[in-house]
Amino acid sequence: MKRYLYIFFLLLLFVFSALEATKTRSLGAGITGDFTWAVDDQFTYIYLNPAYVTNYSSIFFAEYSIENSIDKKSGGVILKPFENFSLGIVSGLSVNDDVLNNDSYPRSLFKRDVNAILGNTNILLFNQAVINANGLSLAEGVALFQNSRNILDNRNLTVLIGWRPTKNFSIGVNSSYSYSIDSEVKTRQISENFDLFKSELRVSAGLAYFLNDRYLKSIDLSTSYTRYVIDNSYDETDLDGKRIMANYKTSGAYDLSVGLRFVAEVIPKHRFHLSLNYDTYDTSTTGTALSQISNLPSFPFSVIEDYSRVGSKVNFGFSDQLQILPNVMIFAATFIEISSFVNNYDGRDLVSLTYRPDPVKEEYSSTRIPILMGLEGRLFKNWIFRFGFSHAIKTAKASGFDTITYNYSRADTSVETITQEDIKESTGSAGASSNISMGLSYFLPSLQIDWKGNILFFSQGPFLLSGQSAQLATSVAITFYLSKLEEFTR
Amino acid sequence: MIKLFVKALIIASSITGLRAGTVTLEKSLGIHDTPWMKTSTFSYATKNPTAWFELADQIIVDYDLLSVSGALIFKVSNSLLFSIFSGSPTNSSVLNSGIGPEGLFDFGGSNYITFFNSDTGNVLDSASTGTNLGNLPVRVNELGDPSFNLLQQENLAMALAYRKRKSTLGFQVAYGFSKNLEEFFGLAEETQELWKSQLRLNFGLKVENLSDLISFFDIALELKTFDLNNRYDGRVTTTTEKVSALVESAGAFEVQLMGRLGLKKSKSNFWIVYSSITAFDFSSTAQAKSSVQPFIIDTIDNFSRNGFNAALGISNRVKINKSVSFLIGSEARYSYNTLFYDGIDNGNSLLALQPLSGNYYSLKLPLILAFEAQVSKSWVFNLSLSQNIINIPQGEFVEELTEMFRSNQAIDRLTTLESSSRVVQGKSKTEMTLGLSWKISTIQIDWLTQLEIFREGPYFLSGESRKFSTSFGFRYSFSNLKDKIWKK
Repeated sequence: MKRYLYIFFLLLLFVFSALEATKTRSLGAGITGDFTWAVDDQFTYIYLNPAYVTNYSSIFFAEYSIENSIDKKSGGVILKPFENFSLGIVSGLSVNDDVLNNDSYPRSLFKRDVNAILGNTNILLFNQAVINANGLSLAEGVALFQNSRNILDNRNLTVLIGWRPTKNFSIGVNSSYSYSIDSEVKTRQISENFDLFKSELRVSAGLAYFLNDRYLKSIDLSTSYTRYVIDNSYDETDLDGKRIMANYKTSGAYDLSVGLRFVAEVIPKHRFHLSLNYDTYDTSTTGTALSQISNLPSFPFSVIEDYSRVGSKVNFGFSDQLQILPNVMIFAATFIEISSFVNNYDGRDLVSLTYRPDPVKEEYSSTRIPILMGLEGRLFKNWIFRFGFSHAIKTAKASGFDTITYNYSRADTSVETITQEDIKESTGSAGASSNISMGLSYFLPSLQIDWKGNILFFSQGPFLLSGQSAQLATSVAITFYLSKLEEFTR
Repeated sequence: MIKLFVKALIIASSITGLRAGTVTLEKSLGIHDTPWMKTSTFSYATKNPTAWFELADQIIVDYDLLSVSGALIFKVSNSLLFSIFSGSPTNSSVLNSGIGPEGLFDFGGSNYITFFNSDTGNVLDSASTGTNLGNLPVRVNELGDPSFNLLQQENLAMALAYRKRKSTLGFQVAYGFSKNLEEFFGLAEETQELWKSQLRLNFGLKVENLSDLISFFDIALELKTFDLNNRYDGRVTTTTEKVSALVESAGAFEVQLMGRLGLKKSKSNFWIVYSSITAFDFSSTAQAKSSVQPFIIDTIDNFSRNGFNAALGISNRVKINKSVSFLIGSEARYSYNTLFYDGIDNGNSLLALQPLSGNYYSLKLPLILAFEAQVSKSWVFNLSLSQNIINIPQGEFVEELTEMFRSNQAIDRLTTLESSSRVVQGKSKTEMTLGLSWKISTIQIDWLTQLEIFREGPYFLSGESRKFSTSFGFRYSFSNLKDKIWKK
């Protein structure tokens, strides 16, 4: 056994060549989205800094994975239609799910923690009463505020364009758009309109400067802007011309990110990556409800609720990538990320000219210091093995954040002044968490197949030995290097 | 072992050799719904018979775990070709569907006045159980049930194509039918007959080598007629009581005009521009008559379904080198369908309480990226990604329904209208297909593989049982054999 282990590690020391990567390959070494800057040639880095698309020769790639029991397919092509010019078309990339489809993160568009409109105005009762009176059946008021309706999961298409006018300099842009609609109209004597709309527009741009300096190898700068839109509304006018309306929509919600990366080589084959990122966002939303009807369970009202969510994040990362032998690369990376978010919820009744009696302010903060260590090496002539170990040194509580909640009280709701506040502070630290990952690649000059291994498969052994079912991998990817295919087939 | 396994999965045969395709090959390239994107596709030849010349002197068979189809394409001379094939799919969304807006069996909700009326139950079936009738159970419900007497494949198709110099003319006829007859003779006489058929005629014209740039131009006209005739007749032999019911198509047809322009930008760069327009009428009627007490009825329901669709597409096939080719294509498809329902109760001189009209819209814009690579002398690997750039509405159509109410069923006037529309769009899912082709001498075998196998690993590793492929195609070229025989 020892002998085989010895041979195994000896084989790792043979020739290694850094190949272009898929997301599957990165994940095999534990390189998640937080760490794509940390190691050279990570394919997913082109989405952060599209200037790097020019580094890729013509490829066609496809990935198939299981994520949270949902099968996911993605892929695309990168071509060089003209000299120094790259074009990428990619489909199947995910939208920012935390923002668009969730209600549990501080910056989620559906995180409200108070249910003022639904709770205080009985709009659902209003809605149902009118519907019953007119024989319609729309009754969708509550869906306006629900994150689980009208899910938007994939970007329709992502287009990358890169230009490398000189050997040392490249620039690129990346854009994508996606939307989802759930809309229903019913008309008999009255008309009911129910519309849910959600979209994400993302544009990123980057430049990369590749130096011939002895130490400093490259500097790159990237920025991205993401615009989120929610526009959910219910509208109905009854026979007397009186209106019931509610809507929930974004107030110019966006994400803005700027990143800077330096790559230095102190001694040959020993690279350091230094990354600095700043993100700021505003994912505020507004809910309004209006009723002019007086003979239903509640009185006429017109309320407006503001859900303000603003925050920022600073991330400073450092990695050490060392090609210890021609065929073996090891790396270690860490970053410190400091996040700070503030959410404010308040509301007014425009008919009675009163303010909400119980506004809420929530402050979130967190500091993360994860560490990632990994190895990638050639096992045999056509096989690459990779391994990653990640560990979170410092994490906030299990919810991911330290939280301070201010529950305000207004003794006099006719004035904006807050008279009393209760503060609840919730801090702590979750236990350290660790994770391992394994990956394999089979490659030929013209193609490469990557697997992100299923740890269960490696721990319990293949079916032949264990009699237990375990899938070999959670993700598989195939990449064709178009320019090399002819060479391969000879 | 693993190496062999992986290599066997990845490696493929010659793109250049894979000119002629099976349906399985089309599926693995993601172009089964848009076969115009590539020349020499089986499915496009079933639309434009002049394209059979591209598949001349071959036997092609496909098996997709449910059905088998096959063709013999025989070039009688350099200018004349004959093809005979069977098993091509019928227009199942019309003939075997109760889903709107195309299905002949789409009878909508519960407001219709004949035997589909859910308020009163199945009147005729109820009638039959209360009298001397009743020996053919659920005789009437089956008439309006699309899952009975399915017609999924054409029985036989034949094509003739004639080529003179640069021009080719083609004609094709295809027919499929299904029938189910049940009879009972006793105190009552009952007959239930279910009948479905589809007739398809195709006319094609192709002109080649029009200029250095225009490689070909082809145009085709396709005419389909759909015949549905499901009937039940019952008679009590001791009395004059009769019961009958009928569900039938009302002149249902589809006519499609399509054309392609093939542009050869260079030896390795080929463009195809495609356009088509289709008009259709998938109307059907349902009738019921009964003189059996107390279920005296005489009703007719008319379901009018019309519409058109138009498509415009472009594809670019680039041969990167002698082993690899890449295809990118897109097709914008717009559909507009209408539905109108009304009913008459002749026995009581009443009209339907709630007639209905509907409009259905759909716009699709799939983008297809396909890749073919010859990775060894005998193996070709095919991979495709497809995605609708525009989200498709759930149910594939935006539905706008207007329901009308008659307060007085004795007069035609409509008193109240209720309209509704619903659209849900949120999925822009990427689909992926992966295929392998193995070619040796004059034989080619294609597989459409299961992606899961590649991720999960084979059974001996993962313990997960999966079929290796979901579709299998076989092609044999007998041109050499024919030449030898003919020379003798």
